[in-house]
Amino acid sequence: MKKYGIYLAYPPTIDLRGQGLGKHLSEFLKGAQERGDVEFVIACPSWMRQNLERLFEDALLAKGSFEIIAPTKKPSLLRLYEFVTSLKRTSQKKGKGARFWKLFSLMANKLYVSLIKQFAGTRSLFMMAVLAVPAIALLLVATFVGVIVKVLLQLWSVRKRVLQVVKKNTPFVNGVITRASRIGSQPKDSSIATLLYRLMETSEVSMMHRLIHAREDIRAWYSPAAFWPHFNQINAPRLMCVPDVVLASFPVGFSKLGGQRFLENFYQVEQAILTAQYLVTYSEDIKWRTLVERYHVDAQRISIVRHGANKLDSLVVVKGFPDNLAATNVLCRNLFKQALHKSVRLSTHSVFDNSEVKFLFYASQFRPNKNIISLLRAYKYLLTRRYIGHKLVLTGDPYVLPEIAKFIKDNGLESDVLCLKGLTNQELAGCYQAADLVVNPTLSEGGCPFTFTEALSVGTPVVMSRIPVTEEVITNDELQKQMLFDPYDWKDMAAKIEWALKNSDTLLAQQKSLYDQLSMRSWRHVVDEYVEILDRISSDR
Amino acid sequence: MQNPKMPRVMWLINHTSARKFEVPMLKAIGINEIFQPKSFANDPTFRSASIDWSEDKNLTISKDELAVLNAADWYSGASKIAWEIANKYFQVVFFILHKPEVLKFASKYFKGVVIWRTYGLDESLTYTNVLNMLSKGEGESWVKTLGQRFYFGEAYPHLADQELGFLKNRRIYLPLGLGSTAIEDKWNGSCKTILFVCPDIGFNPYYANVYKKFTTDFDDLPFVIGGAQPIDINDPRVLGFVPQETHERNMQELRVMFYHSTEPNHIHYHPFEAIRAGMPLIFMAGGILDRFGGVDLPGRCRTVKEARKKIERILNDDWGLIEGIRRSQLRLLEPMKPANCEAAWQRGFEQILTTLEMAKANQLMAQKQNTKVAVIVPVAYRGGSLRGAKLLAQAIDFGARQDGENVEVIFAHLDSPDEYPDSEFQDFPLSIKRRPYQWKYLKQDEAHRAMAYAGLERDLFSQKYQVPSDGINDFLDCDFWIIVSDRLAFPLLPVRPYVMMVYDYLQRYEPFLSASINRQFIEAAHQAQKVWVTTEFTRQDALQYAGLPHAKVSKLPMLAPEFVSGDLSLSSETQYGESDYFVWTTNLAPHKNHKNAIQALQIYYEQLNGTFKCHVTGVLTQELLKRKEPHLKELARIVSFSPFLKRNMKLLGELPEMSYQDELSRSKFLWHAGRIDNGTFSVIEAAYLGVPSLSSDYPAMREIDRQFALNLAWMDADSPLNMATQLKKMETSASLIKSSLPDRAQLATESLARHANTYWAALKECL
Repeated sequence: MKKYGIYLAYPPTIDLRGQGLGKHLSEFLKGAQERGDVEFVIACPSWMRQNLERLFEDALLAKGSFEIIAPTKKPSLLRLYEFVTSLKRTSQKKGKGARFWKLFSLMANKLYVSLIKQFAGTRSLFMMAVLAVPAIALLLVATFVGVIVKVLLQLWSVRKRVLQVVKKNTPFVNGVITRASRIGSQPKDSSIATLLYRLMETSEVSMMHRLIHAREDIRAWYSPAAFWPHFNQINAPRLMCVPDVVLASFPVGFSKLGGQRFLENFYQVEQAILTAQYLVTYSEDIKWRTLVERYHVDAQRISIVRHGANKLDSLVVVKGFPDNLAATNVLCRNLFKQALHKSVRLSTHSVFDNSEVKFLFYASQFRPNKNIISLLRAYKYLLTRRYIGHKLVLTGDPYVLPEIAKFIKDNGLESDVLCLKGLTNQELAGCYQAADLVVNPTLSEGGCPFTFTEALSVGTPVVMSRIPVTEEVITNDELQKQMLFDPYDWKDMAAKIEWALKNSDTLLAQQKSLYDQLSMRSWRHVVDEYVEILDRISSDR
Repeated sequence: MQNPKMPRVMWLINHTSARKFEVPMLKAIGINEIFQPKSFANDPTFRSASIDWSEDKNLTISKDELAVLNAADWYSGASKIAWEIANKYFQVVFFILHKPEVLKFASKYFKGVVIWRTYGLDESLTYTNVLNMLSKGEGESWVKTLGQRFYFGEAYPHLADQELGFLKNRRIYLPLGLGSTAIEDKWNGSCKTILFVCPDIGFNPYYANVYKKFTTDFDDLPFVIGGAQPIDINDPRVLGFVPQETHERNMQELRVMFYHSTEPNHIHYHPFEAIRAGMPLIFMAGGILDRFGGVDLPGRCRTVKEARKKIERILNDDWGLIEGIRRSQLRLLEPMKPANCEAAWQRGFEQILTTLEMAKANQLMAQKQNTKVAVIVPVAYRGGSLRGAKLLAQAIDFGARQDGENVEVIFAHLDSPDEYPDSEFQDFPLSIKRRPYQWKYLKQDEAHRAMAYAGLERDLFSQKYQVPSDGINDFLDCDFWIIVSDRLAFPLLPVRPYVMMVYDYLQRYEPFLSASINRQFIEAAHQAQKVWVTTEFTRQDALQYAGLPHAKVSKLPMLAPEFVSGDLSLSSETQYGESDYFVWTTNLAPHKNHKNAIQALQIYYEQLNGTFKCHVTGVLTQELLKRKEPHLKELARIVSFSPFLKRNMKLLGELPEMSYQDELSRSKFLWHAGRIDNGTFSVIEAAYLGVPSLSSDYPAMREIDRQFALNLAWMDADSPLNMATQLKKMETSASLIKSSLPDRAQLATESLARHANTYWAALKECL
């Protein structure tokens, strides 16, 4: 049995279940499980252990099927931070206290009403006097309690005002309070938190490496990301994946995103690349244009392993019904309707009642390389000049890149461009299936976008931008002409979309045959290729 | 044989197991004619549904009418015709609430008893909440409309306890049982594995949580999970679909069933299946099995720990415990035995029969009164929009009379004599009454009181409502309202059902409305019973943009006035030959494309040597070059720099009708340069007068062109150059087009009289 290691060092705030890498890791390990001759050991910081176990549980990987090596205890600072944030979450919930108070108020009210009823209905003066005493007492107690509560509430609101005045007049105090609150709510945007994290990370990594170096049975190590230059301190054959260095290709766009934190991460990535032993990436384009040209890495040290097909059909295809296709459509439409409720500041979706609405779909976060403004330009033209009638459904937050939100607002597209967020995988699959057409306008990716297999796996045709990584996979000239557009020309994009909508059956039929080929490439194949590389580099030891 | 005293029943449910009990139960109490739906939703949640045709042979109704009932989609409410047939033959309807329309239409159309069959929900829900959610707050009023004819048919006697009064007060206990409680004990328990039933894991969050909890709590014990899985689950322990043979073997061989549910209001079938098969059942306390006598049974557990202990004992061959459980659990079948349920069903139906008698008597006593419909123009429309509203009123009036129906149409307009002088309504038939009004605004509490007084109490969410106030009784003498356009600043007080006529969603293409106002207009359409449109283009916008459900939107034919030109005759050839101008009919609205039109005229005159003058007519067009609105402010500048434009453009403003027709009939052609709207009557009017038209090319104009066969010439409204080129082309082609215009007889085939029936039928469906 050959043992290889997977190196992960994400910060505590990352939940892999919500990340593309998390899904890939699960698929990778499932593929690895199918092989009987290879075992993967995962090395990670202490804070990732639980998250990984939950990730594997969700992916139905048997508990204990993979070894995790990590420091046993979390750093005390992290434990303190987690304790404080958990308190905050508890106080925000309407917990037992609120329920108790509600029940108490209900009972007190019931008792009071009962007393008053009897008081009003009695014929006996004596009874009136007897009843009056507890009724008045209850009233006095309630009034007293009410006054106290009101005073406390007033004090509470005054506290906020006092705090505002203090903050306004004492910049130092304001600064401290702001920084403290940012550490609690958005630690990644706080420079103090970042500094503390880095120090904590250094110590944690050192402990990880002690554990790693004690494992001479692990022949080679693999890092699925290029964020951790400390990976290269491992004294064993090392393979590091570089999906892309997108900040290098879109420097101005990313300069306004993520602040210094992104810059720090960028330096880390560059350092990781420059000190890497062996590299793997997803496409020829990234290999040559980024790694060789920009970073002068020896081409012989770079391998290419393309993605496996990302299929979504298992999440939504219904079986066992008289009409499985109709039942699948109903399920997907319900998922889409559910997803609509996760829209970003929608003006009309609370009354949107047509679950059969036709729409174009693009699933991606909003980043400078995603070319969203061009897509919006093309869409506006198609809607207001070509009258296609479809809505455009996206899955990013338009306020991440304010120019997107501005374009939508300035062009009155709030009701037609729907931005959904926080979709589950099943809701995402539902949106793909329910869409008439999927569009991917990206200017740059690490490999051929997953969009193609994701859309085709649920029977929806797709048009995409003509970029090198896509042309590496979609090689048929005729198909390229039909489905690829110039991402720098929104009119070309619009023309392609309009043609695709009118000829969706033809396009789908032609794309299906390529999809059938691509879908043969499972994650097991991907794992095999990685193992081949790991075998090779470990034999160079 | 049907007991003549017993009603025919429509059992609008397709649940296989429920059918196995309830249909025989109905027969046991003397009801032999039972209708069942022949279709159900293609929804994964209908996994327990099936279709049964066997009862059709017992129905003594005509084959054709039965075919209509069989074809109906009862879960979506079915059609008025289907309900009319139902009324003819059936007196009782059982339904489940998959979509709200079944209750809505039952309350509207059905004259008999309506029973909401309720089998229990999970603890977090009540039927009141479900009804409110599905019906958007209207459900209570539907139930109240039914009055005594509505029953909350609870399968367990406590289900209505947590419901609000309007449901609770109408409870009737019709116990749910099993089709068969016969014991078929072939169990041997040879396979030391737990059977846990949990369907729909892949898409139902409730069951996904149940699955997660069970697999966590019993992870180290051997188990399999049964239940239908429409979405495959990647867990080898989940059996999914198994053939009948395998299922029977599982029931014989698996050692124990664990039933997890502590839901007080709902129970599944599979525990009873286990009991009948002789399989020992371990179940959690707090659920319905406690009510069935399970409180002191050895298989009952108060905690998961206790359940695990007992299961482990069973898996480890504790035959004493096993046999003790098997023997004692039989008592749980008692309440489910048909014989033990029959008395309650008898009693229930005695009550139902009494209700039916009363309902019949009430219907005989009720006098049929004539129907009053108000056609309400919500804003101060003039020109084409007002014309459209008047035509609508006339169509309803004419259509109803043609159908022999006694309907009074009231035309309601804002109380503004300047905007609506008497002369504007000279073409109205005497049968249509005019009634001016003003908008009255109610605060939320006022609106709530108004609705309560009207017997339509429901949750109201807006802070302000509006209602047309005629100074009499706020149009409450009318049974139905038709609102002509969606331009309501606040929600309409839903004190009368209403239909909304929406001509366009221009704001989708020209953002001239604020987001909040737009939302208000869209919401108004959602509150309407139906939305009528007159073009396919607007229909698509209603569905795609406004998000209205398909069933709510009806496309009706465009109504065009018959342009009676009085003493004016058609434009003669001589007049046409002598004419040297065309008419540009417009107004000051942003979508009229003024800038492109002026630029096109500039090109036409300055570069293409255009020879025809341009006469501009329409509301306020005399101010076209004086206005400061963003879409108009540049026009004056363009014209001021062009002596050709100054020389050739003539601004005539809004002309009286006769003057306009005279002006138009002597022109070379009509120029419609607007970019997007619901189409314009002006091109039809021009055709009536024998004048061709050059129009911007957009979907609604194409529809008008098709409907009226106008042979319009086309131009691209986004390109001033193209517009100018087409204008130049009209210098030679206009006379050719003129000769191919439809004559008046042809145009008359699209008259109001022809389409009135369609309008009346659409309204009748709503009444």
